[in-house]
Amino acid sequence: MSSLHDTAVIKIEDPGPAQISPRLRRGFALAAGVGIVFTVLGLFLEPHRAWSGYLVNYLYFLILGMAGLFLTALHYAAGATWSIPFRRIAESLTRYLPIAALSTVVLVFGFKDIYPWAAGTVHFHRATKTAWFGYGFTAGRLIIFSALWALCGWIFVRRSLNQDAAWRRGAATNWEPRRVPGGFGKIPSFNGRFSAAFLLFFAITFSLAAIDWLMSLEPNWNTTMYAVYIFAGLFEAGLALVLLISVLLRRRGSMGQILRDHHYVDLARMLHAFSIFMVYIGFEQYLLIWYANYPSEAVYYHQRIVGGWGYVLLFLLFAKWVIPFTVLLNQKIRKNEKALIAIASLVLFAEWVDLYWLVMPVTHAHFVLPNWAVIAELLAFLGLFGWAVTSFLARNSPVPVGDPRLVNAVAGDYL
Amino acid sequence: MSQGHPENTAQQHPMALEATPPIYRADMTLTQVTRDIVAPLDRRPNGWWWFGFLISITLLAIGASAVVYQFREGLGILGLTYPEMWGTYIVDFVFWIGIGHAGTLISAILFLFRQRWRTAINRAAEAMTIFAVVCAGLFPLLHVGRTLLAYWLIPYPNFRQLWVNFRSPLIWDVFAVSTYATVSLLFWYLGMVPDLATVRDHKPGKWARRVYGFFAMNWRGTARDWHHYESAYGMLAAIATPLVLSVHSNVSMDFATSTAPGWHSTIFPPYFVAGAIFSGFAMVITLMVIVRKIYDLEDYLTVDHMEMMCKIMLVTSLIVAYAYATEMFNAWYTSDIYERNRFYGVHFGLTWTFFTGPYAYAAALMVICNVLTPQLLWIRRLRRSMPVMFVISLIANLGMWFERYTIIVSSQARQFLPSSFGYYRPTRFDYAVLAGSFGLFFTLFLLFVRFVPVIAVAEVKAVLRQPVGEPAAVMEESHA
Repeated sequence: MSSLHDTAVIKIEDPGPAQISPRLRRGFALAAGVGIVFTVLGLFLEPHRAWSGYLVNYLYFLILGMAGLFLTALHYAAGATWSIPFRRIAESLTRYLPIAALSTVVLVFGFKDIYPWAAGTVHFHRATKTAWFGYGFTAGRLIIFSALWALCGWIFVRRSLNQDAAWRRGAATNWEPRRVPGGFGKIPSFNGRFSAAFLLFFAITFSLAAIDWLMSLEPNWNTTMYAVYIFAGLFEAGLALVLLISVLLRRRGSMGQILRDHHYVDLARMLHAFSIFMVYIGFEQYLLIWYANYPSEAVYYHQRIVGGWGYVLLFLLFAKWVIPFTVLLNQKIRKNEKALIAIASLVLFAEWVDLYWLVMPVTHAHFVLPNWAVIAELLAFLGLFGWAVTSFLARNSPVPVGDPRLVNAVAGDYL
Repeated sequence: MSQGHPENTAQQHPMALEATPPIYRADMTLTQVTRDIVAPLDRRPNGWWWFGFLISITLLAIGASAVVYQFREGLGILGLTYPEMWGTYIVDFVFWIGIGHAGTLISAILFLFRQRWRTAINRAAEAMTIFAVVCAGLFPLLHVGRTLLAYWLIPYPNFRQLWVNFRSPLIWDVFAVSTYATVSLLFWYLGMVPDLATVRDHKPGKWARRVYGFFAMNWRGTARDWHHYESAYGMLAAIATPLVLSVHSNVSMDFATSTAPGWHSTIFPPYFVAGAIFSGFAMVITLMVIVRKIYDLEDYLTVDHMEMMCKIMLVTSLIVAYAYATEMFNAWYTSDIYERNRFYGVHFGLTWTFFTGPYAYAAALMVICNVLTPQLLWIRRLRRSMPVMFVISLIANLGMWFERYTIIVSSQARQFLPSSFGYYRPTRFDYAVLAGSFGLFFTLFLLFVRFVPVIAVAEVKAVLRQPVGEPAAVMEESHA
């Protein structure tokens, strides 16, 4: 047994800003620039395909940014200790959210090319639903939601950086959950309360937005699991991205002595668990629709299985669940950085493919590879996302050094 | 381990490890733990125990007589009539199987999450799970009418080459519930073996020693015993974890695989699981508030433990609320008129809406009990108050029964043809059998607290000298 509790004093070194090469950041900026030029070209030359591709790429990176926000809020709301070393990385993802909010504004211009209800090819027989999918109302709520998410992200990051600054000054902060006198229960801090409120807000707004973004591609088709499915993808991809970034930063020596093997083990275990959650949600939705075999409902999967799209679904099954599940079962692999990089990258790629598979079959009966316009959009958003995240990490410490319980997290002394 | 860059290490603050408080009182000794938990088994039961036992056994007798009467007269004595062919028996089945979910969640999932506070509640929660599954299992057997032929549900080679319909979710239920019952029972019994040995060593009587000794399977407490015990326990926890999700998902599929409006909804599986955990924790809270009081176990089932359970209840209540909201939104959003009618339809001047129709009382109770009252648990003072959480947990269980009633009964009343609309009235026999299941549940639970240590003595001792969390690094080492 190690003598964790004998070491009453653990030195927390401030690793300083992350070691991110300026070349990488320049690369992201260049990708964004080139991508944006070709995206604009695509949107004008091939509007139909390019706008669908825009939706895929816009959603993919927005979901990754939202995953950072969600994981941060979840961390605070649960009063968790084990996840403190990863918190700043999750926070860094939220730096993309203002850009995402701006791209929501751009998306509004593509409504007519993306959504049948905006193009006027579908008419609802009810005034309330017609009003719900009014151009202005839909655009308005999506823009307001994404702006509010960006604001919440800003509040979390602001408070977290202030806490670091206070620690550097040697001042004490009182922002962490306190213990109940004489017991082990915790009294939540402001962050905990704010996070709980945010999670409620997130559940409502993200579900409505998921319906607007994706389910309304087929406005007369609906299922109650839909938002949960998108959320399951967000959760799995978010854990994978936080894991990927932390492994890459630690390999470059940017995490100091703070991130240790046991943190990997725990985060990889979470990824393992939520890969099961993903397949659970996806499979249950599929099973129930297949079983009931309502023509109006089953058409959704029919469209996404015939014409070669079924192979994509099969790939998703393996990339999102079978491979992560079987590989991460092994306790030793959860510490193996190369394996973690591979698994996290696979899951992240699969999330993109998932969105592609959700969006593209609506307009393409047969499987199509992404064309130049879609790839340009991917490049543009990847550049913007990467630039936002790396710029933040290059200026700030990639671990929340000011968190008074960071030392417990380093020692593996949880709860 | 990689090193920070030299220019970055200017900032160095030694930080003291925040003292992690122990789960149980710091001055507690190992002997005292054994004494406190095992002692009640040696004493004669007090008046409260007899009072509860008498009521439970009376209820059980009432239910049993109703069942005997049903065997004689047939299912006609119940409120079942077209279109309501699934009545309170199915409601009760879903209700009890839901209650049974807290035990496995506490023993398996909280174990894997290294939540060491679970040591105080896991034994009782697991026992409760098994008794709830026993109650649940009775209802489908009674519901099929010809109970003696229920063994036809089991696929076995037979002369007529008749097999069960493997594509029916009802058959999946048979497999899921029996697997769940088996694994829960094994898990519960395995966890109890060291404690049964403790009781064996403390019992004065020769016969008591023999009986406990038999069930303790010759446990000696050697290092080898413990090693095997712990690896088996960890393995069973891993096996039991998917069961927490699968069983109630399966139960939800009894409804969701159909095309019936109000039943066919893809969110049912996770929604049912969350509801099950909600009701299960409500029942654990109900029981633990009583047990800690009458057995003087306030030092073990501390306010912090109870607060933790209240938090889980609050979270699952919010998930359930989310599912209700999704259903209501979807019923408005959908293009399927039958689904819309189920919630918001108007027929023949009758408003068959969810909240004003004949079943409005059940829908209202469901929302008030499962969504509104649990919101009180946001307030710290309330979720640390025993009377408050006791009342909220009772209300939650009432609400969860009515949730199932709303889903199962009121959906059947509003299917495709308005001419086939109906209204379901449970008869006194329905209520008698429901009361009987409560009688069975509490009888078994009271016998359990009488004969088995209600708290896992060995597990409490194991965490007595350790702070709350299990150091991850230690876990790693022990795995390696």
